[in-house]
Amino acid sequence: MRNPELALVVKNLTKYYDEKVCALKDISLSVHRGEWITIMGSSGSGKTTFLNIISGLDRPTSGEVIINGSDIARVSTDELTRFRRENIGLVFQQFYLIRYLNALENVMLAQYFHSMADEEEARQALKMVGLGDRLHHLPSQLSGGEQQRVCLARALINSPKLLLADEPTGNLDKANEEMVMRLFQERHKEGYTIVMVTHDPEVAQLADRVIHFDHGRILSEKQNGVRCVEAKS
Amino acid sequence: MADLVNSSLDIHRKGGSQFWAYGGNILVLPQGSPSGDVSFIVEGDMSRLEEGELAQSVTGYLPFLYNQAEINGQKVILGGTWLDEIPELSPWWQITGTWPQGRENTRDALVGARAAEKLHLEVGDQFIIKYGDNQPSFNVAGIVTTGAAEENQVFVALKTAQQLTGMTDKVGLVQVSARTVSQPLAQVSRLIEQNIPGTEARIIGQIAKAESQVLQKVQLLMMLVAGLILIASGLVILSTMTTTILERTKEIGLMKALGASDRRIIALYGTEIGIVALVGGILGYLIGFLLARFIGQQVFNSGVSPSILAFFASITVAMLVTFTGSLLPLYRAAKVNPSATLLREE
Repeated sequence: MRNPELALVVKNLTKYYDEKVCALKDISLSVHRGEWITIMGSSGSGKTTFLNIISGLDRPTSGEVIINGSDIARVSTDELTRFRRENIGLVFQQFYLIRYLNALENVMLAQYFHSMADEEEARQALKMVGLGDRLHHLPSQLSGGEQQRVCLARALINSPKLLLADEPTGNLDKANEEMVMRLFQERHKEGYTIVMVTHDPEVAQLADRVIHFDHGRILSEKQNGVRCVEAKS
Repeated sequence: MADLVNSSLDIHRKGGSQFWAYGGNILVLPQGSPSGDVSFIVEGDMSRLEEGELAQSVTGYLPFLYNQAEINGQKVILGGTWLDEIPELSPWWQITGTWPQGRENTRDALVGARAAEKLHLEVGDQFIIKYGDNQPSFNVAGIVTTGAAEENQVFVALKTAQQLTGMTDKVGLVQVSARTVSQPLAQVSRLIEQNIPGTEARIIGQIAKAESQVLQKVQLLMMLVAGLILIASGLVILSTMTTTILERTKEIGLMKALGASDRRIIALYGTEIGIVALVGGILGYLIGFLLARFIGQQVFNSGVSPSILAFFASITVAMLVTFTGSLLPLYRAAKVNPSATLLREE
């Protein structure tokens, strides 16, 4: 059933690797439109697997992942690819910019795969993240913070319904971390739905909701700093 | 590979032109002596070509006497012949200057185009031919272009060559032009051998046939080598492309994460491979052509002509080999798993 208020609904999500290793076990959660949730947890807790599945990069073993009313766990590979380019914006810890393309071209690449490259639009996206004077710089000529901002501009260029970030400040110093998080806060105010994986409690507290994963399960959930869900032992 | 294709495509033409450069349709050669010494035809015997039954068939003949002499300190092949008969029996010889007149002409010489270039001689120049102690002077009456080995030679009147080398009344070979209306060429050939004892009259067609068989074998060998090179190239491309795709796994993973379909990935990298193959094919043809020309120069004494067929063959083969060698790597590129390459559980 479709609830227009919900950007993402996950029901009984389970993921096994090689039919033996359990990465996610019976996860259920919902994310409202415009909500910012942060997923925390120790290494191997399943948070990146969760991000992979809700971004359409991987498929669950069982369960439902409903985005925009359709269960992406049950669509074909081609439909999943189309879903990804039309609905998801990804921000990576390692930025993953193409080294021989400049900042502008890296952003335009996302437009190219989505529909049609528009240089002016890409230029505006880079100006929005404060890189109006770095348009023609190659990734190697940019600092880590600047590279992450290019990555953010690339993620936002097609106006995704879900902005997913995997440790976006993991490779940044304090100053750059603050600058990048300020950009996330601005996007949040603009109404973007954000799902972010992080180890950093300071980053996590900026979100509306913090969900702790442990051994593939939801351990606890805090809404605006108040614990609201506790896993049954 | 382009060099081999160029050479093998041109080998028949080049080999043929080498052969037909003798002119006429029968070549009269002295029979080899049992002792292995160099044999000659007696010049006086040639008049028998105009006698009896042969007179009806033989339309013309041209004697040649070849020796090695020295001009301007460089060794050259000196040919003695009836200079005034050349335009009639070898009409494809092109001359800059004038044909020398008279068979007893001791003044004029014809110089092959390449020899003239090598010896820095021009029409009207005087030069000395050194043979043993003899050093007569000659005038360059004309520079000849034949498309074959004569371009590296210098020609004087037969009489002059005989006097210079001390081979009075001797001839090395005779090029005979015979009609085949009254009797077949084989019959004419037999008649020549009967009328001029100690000679062997070879029909040029038979020589060409033997030569053609050799050329076919050389061509087959070249094609075989080209085939092996193609297989080796395919394997090199396979390994290079596999390495390239492995190195670019993250880039491909990112593109897929951004929404690129398998078909789009194949089209993108396929285009890149196609451009590389096209440039490679053009470069391969150019380098191959230059190499083939060099080899043609060394082996046939004349260059290999550019072939449009070899040009398109080079590009087509480059495309085919590159794409065949890239099929597996392209498939692997399309199947890159973005989640495994970009986002890994820590």
